[in-house]
Amino acid sequence: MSGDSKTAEDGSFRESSLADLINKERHGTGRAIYLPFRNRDIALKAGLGLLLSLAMAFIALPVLALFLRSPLPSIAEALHDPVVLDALRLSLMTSGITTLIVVIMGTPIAYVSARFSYPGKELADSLIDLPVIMPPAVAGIALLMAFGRMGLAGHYLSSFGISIAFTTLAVILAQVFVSSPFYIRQARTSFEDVDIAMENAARTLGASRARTFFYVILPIAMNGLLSGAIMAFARSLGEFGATIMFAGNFQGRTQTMPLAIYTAMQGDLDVALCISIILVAFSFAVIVLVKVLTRRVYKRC
Amino acid sequence: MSVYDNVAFGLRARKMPAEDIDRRVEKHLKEAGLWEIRRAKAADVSGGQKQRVALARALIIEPKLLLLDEPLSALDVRRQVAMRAELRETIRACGVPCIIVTHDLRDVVSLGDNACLLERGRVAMRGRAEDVASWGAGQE
Repeated sequence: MSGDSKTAEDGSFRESSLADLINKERHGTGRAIYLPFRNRDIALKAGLGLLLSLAMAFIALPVLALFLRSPLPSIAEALHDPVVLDALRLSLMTSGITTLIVVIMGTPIAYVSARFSYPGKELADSLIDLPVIMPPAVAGIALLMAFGRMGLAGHYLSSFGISIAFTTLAVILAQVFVSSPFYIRQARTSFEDVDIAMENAARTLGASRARTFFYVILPIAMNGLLSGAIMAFARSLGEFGATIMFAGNFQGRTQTMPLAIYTAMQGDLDVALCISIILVAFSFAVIVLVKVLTRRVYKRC
Repeated sequence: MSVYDNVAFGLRARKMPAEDIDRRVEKHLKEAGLWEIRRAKAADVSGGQKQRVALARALIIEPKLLLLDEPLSALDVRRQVAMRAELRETIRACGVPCIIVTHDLRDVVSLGDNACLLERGRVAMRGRAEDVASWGAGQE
């Protein structure tokens, strides 16, 4: 009997203490926890907002300054300057050819790298990525040592009467060297992202390897390939270090836009500013083009 | 790729004339109840519709044998019931021998004629679908 009443007492005691605890939680401690959390949340958001606006200002300010500092009439004038026109034409031509070469040669490499394993694959993949971390000036000297008149391969080429260094071909070679990893890396990731089940499904339906590649894999990976190609184009449009080392700085032959800016800086700042504006406009157009193109392709698939 | 392109894929890979492809694809899409959504993109159709497209795509090339690996596992339970009945009808109607791999005993009972029970990579039992399906219950 007494034991029973004791447990009942104990039970009620526990119950009341539990209710107290809940009440305390709800009225006292609960709110005390809630408020600092809210404050911390606001502080975090404010901090992130500040960081974001700082980063945006850091990028936008120089671009803005470029536009504000360059006299508008002289931009139109610069567009008639043969130096600027030559540089623009050369830049667009070499970057276009470079992108074409990189896409045609890089796509199979990227696909093989994404899907197959072969002896020395690690080494090949590292070699493909090497130009990204190699300083462009070093790349330029390396290319000169390989394909220059006295270079490893250039030595043999020059005995056939072929000389590469300091020609437009050298500009293209330098751009391919520097920009190919940008495409191949992106393409490799895009191919890796294609579900292997789709490939297998196409093969079970009787499609050849080539048909599977062109009708199934390529359309799915197209988004990534396009943005990779445009990244490579943009990278070669801005190529400076390797080009000046390996191809030199001759107007109409090897003087691309960045080289023309560098040359103009020695004399007339206004001309340099104008070329820069044109280059910025092009870069912007490229970004917009990527966004529009990738959106359309994404919808089509 | 649209639903239509998906079903036509195998025939196009065989370089069949376009009008033959049209005729066959129309027949298969209508039978599978997909004719209305033939222009929809693969990404926009539901899970059940995807399975129907996959089945039509496999059947249109008139295979000698159909291999289905967990055909219903991607669907939720309610759709599984409907799809299972539909799958049974389609398989019976097309007359193609079919090997179905499944973890679900309901599939065995509903779709199977003969069944093999695999355990650790070996055939532990084979017989009529009902017998194999009730084997687990008898052991416990």
